Amino acid sequence: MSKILVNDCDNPTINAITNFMSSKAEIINRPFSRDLDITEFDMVLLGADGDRETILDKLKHIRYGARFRNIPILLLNPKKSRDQKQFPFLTGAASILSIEEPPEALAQMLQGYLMPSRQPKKFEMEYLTPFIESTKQVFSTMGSMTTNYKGVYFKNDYNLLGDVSGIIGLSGNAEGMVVITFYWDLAQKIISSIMGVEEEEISPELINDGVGELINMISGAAKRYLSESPYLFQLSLPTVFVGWQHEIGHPEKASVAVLMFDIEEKSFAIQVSLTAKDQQNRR
Amino acid sequence: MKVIVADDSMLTRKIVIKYLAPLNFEAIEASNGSEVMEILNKEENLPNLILMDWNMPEMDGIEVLEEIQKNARLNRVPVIMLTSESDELSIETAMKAGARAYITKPFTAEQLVETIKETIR
Repeated sequence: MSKILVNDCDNPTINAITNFMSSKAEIINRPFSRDLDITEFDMVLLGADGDRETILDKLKHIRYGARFRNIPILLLNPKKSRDQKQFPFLTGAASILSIEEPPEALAQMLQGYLMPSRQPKKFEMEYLTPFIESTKQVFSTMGSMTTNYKGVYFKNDYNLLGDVSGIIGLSGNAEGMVVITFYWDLAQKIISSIMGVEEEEISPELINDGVGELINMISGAAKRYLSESPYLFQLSLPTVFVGWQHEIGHPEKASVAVLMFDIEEKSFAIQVSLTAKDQQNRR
Repeated sequence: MKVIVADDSMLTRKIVIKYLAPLNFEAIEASNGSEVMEILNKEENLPNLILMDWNMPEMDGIEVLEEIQKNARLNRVPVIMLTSESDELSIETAMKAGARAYITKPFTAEQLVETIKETIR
């Protein structure tokens, strides 16, 4: 059975959610906590009855607790709000729902978010496996760090999930984009480990530059594995985004694979969207 | 001994300079190919070695190699490519363009130092 964490919702909302979903999921009601690891849950519902800054701060900490896992974070409004559509995008939440929605519609929406991500197809693992291997190789060679691959899921957008993200465009026989995304503390730890100095000695400028160089190295190393395949690509220069309220464009219909990794109990993700020009024949 | 370290990544330039420390080289940093050409055209005493990335803004590593090969004064300076471009075709392209050696990223201090020693022997 799925597990839904309900944070900071009033009693009528909790009762309504329990009525809609109790046969589908276990509802766990807890007050918001900054350091909560939410990876045991399949969804988080956060009460959105408060000022925007407070909700943003809570969402930030829930996002850290999600550790790049496929856990939709939904805001629940007691009433329909006029900025209902814009708010989730700005905050990184998957959506904002109102308890005033018809119960059947709300239950259906929640169940939709609980649908498990599909498994990767064989042709997708052909190009994802080189990125998994090259990621391990880059951290091991440059920073003597062991990287544990934790799995893959798919999404349809390119929301940047971390605090700092390096992006590289791919073109040629295969086209797409690869993104590495970190929470700030792990990015700092990795760059200091590569440089062999204390974390305090690493400037934000060097972290930003380093995140770009890491995705450049990972993509370049993956290219070697793919040189005999239909997925051979050319690298562009990397770009770095700081902040998590960004969405970047990606080819229409191309799904985005999120590869999840841990280094010493801290998480990061690599998002890969890659389409070979002859892919239509390969499905 | 003087070496130009050309890479648009500040992190990679710093790592390379750190790895070069035991060799007591004087390192001159460049963040793109145009800067490499400026340094080469300005310096009376040419560097003993150029360590250069491929993908850089303004002028990439292969364009610099081609410029160096065309110039009788500059083409004695050995160039080692240090790049993420790791496939066989890229390596062949760079060696044909005049690179003396090729190191793919990620790289270790040992790989870098050994390749440099073999190249400037």
